[in-house]
Amino acid sequence: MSQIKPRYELARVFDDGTQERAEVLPVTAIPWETNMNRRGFLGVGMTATAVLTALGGAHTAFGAGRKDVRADNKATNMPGLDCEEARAQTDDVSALAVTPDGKILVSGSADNTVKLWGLPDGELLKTLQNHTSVYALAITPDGKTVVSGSWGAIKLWSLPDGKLLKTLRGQTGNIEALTITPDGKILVSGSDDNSIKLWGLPDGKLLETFKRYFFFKAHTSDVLALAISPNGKTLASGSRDESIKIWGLPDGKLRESLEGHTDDVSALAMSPDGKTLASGSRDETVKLWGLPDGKLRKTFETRAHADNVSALAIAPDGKTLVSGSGDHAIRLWDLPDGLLRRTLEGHTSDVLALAITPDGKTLASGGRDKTIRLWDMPNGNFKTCLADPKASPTSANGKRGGSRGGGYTICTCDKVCTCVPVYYCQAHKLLDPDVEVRVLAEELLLLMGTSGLSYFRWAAAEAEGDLQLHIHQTMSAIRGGSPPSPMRWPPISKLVRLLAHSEQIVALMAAQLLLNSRHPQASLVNRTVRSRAEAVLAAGQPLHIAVRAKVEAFVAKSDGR
Amino acid sequence: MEAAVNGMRKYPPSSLSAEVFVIPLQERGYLVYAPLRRSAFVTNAKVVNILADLKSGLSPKGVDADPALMEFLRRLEIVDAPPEQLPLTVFGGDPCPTAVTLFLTTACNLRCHYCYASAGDTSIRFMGMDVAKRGIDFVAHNAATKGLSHFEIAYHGGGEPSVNWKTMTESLEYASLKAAEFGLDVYAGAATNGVLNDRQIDWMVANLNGASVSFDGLPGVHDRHRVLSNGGGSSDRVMNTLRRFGEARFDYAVRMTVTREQINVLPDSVEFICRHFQPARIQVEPSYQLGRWADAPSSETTEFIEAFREAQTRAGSFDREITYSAARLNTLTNHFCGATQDSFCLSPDGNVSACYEAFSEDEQWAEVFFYGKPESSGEGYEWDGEVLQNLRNQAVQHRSYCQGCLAKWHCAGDCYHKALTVNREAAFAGSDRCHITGELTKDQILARIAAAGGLFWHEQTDH
Repeated sequence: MSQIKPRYELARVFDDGTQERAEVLPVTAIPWETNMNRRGFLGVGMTATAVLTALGGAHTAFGAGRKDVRADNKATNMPGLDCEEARAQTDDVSALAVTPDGKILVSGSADNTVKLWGLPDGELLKTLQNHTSVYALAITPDGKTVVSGSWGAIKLWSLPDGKLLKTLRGQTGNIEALTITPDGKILVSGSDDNSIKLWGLPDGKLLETFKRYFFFKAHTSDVLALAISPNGKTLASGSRDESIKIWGLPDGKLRESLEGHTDDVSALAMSPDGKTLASGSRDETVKLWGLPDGKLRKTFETRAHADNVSALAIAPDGKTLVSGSGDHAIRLWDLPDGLLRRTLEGHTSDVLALAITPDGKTLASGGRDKTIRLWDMPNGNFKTCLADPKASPTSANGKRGGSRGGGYTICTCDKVCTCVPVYYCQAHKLLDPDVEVRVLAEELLLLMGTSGLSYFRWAAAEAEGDLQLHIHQTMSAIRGGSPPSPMRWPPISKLVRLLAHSEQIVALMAAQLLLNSRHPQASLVNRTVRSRAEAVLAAGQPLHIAVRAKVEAFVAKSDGR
Repeated sequence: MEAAVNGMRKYPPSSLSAEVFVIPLQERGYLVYAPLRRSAFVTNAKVVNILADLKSGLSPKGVDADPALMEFLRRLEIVDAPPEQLPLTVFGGDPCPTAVTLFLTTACNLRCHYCYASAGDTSIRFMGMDVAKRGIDFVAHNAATKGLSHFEIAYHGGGEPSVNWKTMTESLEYASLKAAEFGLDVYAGAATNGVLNDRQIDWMVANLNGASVSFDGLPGVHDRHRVLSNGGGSSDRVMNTLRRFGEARFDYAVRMTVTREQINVLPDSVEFICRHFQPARIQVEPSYQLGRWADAPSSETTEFIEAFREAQTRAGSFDREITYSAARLNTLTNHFCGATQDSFCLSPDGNVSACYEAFSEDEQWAEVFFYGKPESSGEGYEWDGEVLQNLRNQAVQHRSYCQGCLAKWHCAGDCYHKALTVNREAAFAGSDRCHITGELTKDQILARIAAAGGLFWHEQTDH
């Protein structure tokens, strides 16, 4: 008897035209077992991006499908949640804090909850209710109490059990900022009622109020940020009145009023040695101020970000400043010179909160996209995002909340990486031993936007002759996943000669100097190029920003936007 | 490299780099399977159509907006990978086997109702030592010439090999001497109905590397069809053999035959075996409509598939697996069996057959499978080139029917002998086994995806 001929060859299938997105459907159970129980064996569909982030970009993450599949394969090839779907909260993540032992990350949200997450695995430990929108958090130095601030109320909760200990009332607006003295005896709160209050701990007794009246020169608008020096004797406050005030503790005496920002001072961070105060502002700048004199030391670039600098954190070793912004980006800056080291992308909305673990190895960021992301420090490699299935719209397995492995890893392996943005990582892997190639790649990292290979596209469109061809070939190789090659790029001296745009040339040179200042092979750099780069560097890095603007304009035009 | 047009560049599109099969799943979605890339995942119509467009050389819509999808497909080597290497083994020239299967006898101590060979009802033939020696000499010499470390002997046939005990034991002794002469090892195995006395069991344990024992599971099930010549059941004897093999830690496999009316108890039989015995493998096959069972109802049914699945679950609870001959995901080949690969089997009369089911010159398809005979000079064999070439041409790449099958490179065209039985001499047009093979292969692929974490399955290949 003949059978119907099997026709499983690849061919188009019915598409109802509803413009569904491309999805991978996880196989969540052994099919024949589910057939017995009448259950389905497929999970909720995931985008390819989600799949790749579940893999973490590592080639070893591929499962072999055998019963002896390695544990690391299982861990990385799990039906999981993309950060876009892995919500930690159901509204803005407005505040983050880490316990002194580094074992608990506390998040506060506009969804009226405070959540406790175990570190390093990101397991959701507890959700604290009985609040309104939470905009500020602080943790006592003994790690036993977390303080949360919302509208007109400050709540004290015990750790790790999350039991509500006390509610403090007195400020009439949102509590925008909280901080605690190193001795754990004084809680400082800043509010959009323009006041700063000092509260005794643990009893919560109101000690002092800093509010403008008559000649008392307190803030004239919302108090948005607070920071305390390591010795507990200096309090800094930032305000919507565009000023930063330096106060003595515990006397509350106003010592300095720092002017310079031209918009809200949204964020403050104090260096571990207490000698530097970093401020972030809606004027899109980050400034470094000397303490105790309050002298302005540095302004990071003409614009550190493209939007409000809403969060700041300084690493425990004092060598890195982290800024988060309404432009969705996080930036790592070298201290004390203020050079941009790296831009971390991933958040899809304003970055509202930052926290660094006491060991300096993990950065937590929270955003308006309702996600909490963890990053390796100091390199900025993405580690994971925290997920609460109750907050995530498409939980694949419905299990209890926690981190999901892998993610937007900025690769450190020696293979071509495939993180998001894909081409960002691949360009990073052009950092060959050849110093000139690495310099070019470093510049590409700075200039590359979220439109994949946008710099390449711009350079390819604008460049001439064989350089154009070379750029195209490089892009093809990158798209094909070929490994980096020192032969891929011509010598930088030739690039300088070929490229028509002075901004691009100068930017390249500046980047070259940036790299070579730390590079052991700096002596190999062409002297002429080096001297020109030094001249550019002396003026800061505005040209990097200018070229980036050109690239983005080009991309927008070519994409028809 | 394409030229610039108004400053806009076109970049080389991704290209399909795998033979891809798409299997619609009843629950929803499509199983995308690239057998030679050892890759599989479940997806929706959008991705299938993107792949189909790539196959057609079209530029799929939306691909540029989803670079992650292309990267995912690259990871699975489905796009933009070097060309696949087809698992083609092609035979030519005179056969030079290093393994011989000796059909020792057509006699049998059982009268199994479903016996494909109708053993006991056909003319009784016994292989003599002269036939065995010639075959052993041939393969031993070939192994030595090829520089191999061993040659192989298997005992099979249209009867019970152990019934020809004299030739069985003496031939292996001869083979051992021959192996020593050439400085080789000899590996020996046997298919048996398991109705053995203790002396035979001891000999097998001591001298064979392994055995395949026909056993249908629950005693009541086994005894229904696997009967002694006096009509009594054989399960006691077979279970004794299995126990003795287990005690001796002898490497043996169980082969189960499932008739139509026994499909519903297959899971129980599998559980019985897993619970009481320790076979290295459990092979489950629907009864063949050959020999005494030619007119029996087919058990190659959907019910068999469902029963197999449940039996698989039961085996899994004992951390065991059951297998079906044509659903073998671990195998990438263009040959279902040795019948198309110059398999060297000697009938009791010493003629060369390529197929276990063509065990004697009287068998209905003997002229298709017997491709050699002893050379008149006293050594070696002479070949029927036309028959041999026809057998070699039965590899799957020559089977039009199989090209669109997801099991193409695993089943590789299924059993030629069964195909002839079903289709007579017409070109292969499939059989009920094809449906079983497809479903169980699909099960295995999905299980691999699940075992790998659920998102996809991919094993790095050398291709």
